[in-house]
Amino acid sequence: MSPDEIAETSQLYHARIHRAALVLTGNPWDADDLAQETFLTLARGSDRFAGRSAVYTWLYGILLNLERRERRRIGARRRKLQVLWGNEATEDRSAPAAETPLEVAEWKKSLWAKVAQLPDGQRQALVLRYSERLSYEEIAQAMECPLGTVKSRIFNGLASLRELLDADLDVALVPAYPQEDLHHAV
Amino acid sequence: MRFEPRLYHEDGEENLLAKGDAPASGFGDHSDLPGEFAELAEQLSDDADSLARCYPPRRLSNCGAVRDGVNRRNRRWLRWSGAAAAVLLAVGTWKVVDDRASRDDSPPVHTISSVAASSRGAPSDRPVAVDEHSLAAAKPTTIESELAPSIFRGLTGAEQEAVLDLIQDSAPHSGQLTI
Repeated sequence: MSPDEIAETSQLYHARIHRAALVLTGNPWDADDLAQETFLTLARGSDRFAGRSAVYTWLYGILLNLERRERRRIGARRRKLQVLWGNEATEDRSAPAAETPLEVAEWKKSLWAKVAQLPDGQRQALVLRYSERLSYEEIAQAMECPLGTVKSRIFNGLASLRELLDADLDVALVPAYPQEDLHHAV
Repeated sequence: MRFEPRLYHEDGEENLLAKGDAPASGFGDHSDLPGEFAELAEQLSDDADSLARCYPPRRLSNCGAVRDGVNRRNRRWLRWSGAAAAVLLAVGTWKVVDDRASRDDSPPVHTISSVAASSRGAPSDRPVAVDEHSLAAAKPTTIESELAPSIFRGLTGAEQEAVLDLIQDSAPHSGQLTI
């Protein structure tokens, strides 16, 4: 790809990649960084694009890899901090901890916040399917896995999401301070 | 219930996506999914749409950065090949210098062809007849003397000859003397 082609591709698909990044990360700042990193990776490695799939499925593949790597990095850092602070006396915090991921309210209220709790494969398949509206074949190309795996990930992802929502509903139905049953008292 | 999803984008929508346009908002009816899952899928799509509306992408201001990325890749290739050439040149130069230095440091080698020739005091430039059998049988003897390299430096041919005679006389056994 020539530099002009890469710049044109970036302009063409930036909105779509940013949208997927937004749903995946939960905030527009990380989404901006992630989208930009995706196109920089495209620029650095465009000679590796073999043309066996569409450019945008390749871009989604880059995006998913970058996002997965970033999540692992954040997860590892959080675990290290937990180890470091595990023995520290807990005090009331006036501000959220530094390692707390930043997410916008609209995302937290959406179903995508629940999707974020699913395993990587299911989460990413659901994003490509229901946010990006890719076909199963395109998702299989982007995720580099068989078509059957994509279908099962989407189905299992939806089932897991349903269970998460049901569990939340059960918790919500239980009163915080159940009235004490005093019938046994004389 | 068995899950048998129906594939979308088989006709027009594929081309729409390939052009980089935003996905159509009326995407699919999710009829391939069980009822409760279809509702979830619908809500996921709606949530993604509203999120994208709330936080539209900033203009890709760093298009230049992307372009720079390509130029940087080309420059990087040049830089790596230049660095490799420089390393090869440095190694080659070092090798040559090292070889030359080791050659300068090594002591000069003087060979006395036969004991008889030296013992008779024959001039060094005069040919000496040597028995081939005795020469083949004679094992070259190397006299390792700490003084030998310095002794032979700066001596004339006659002086070297004299020193060799002295060394030869003090040698424990006869044979070819090599220093």
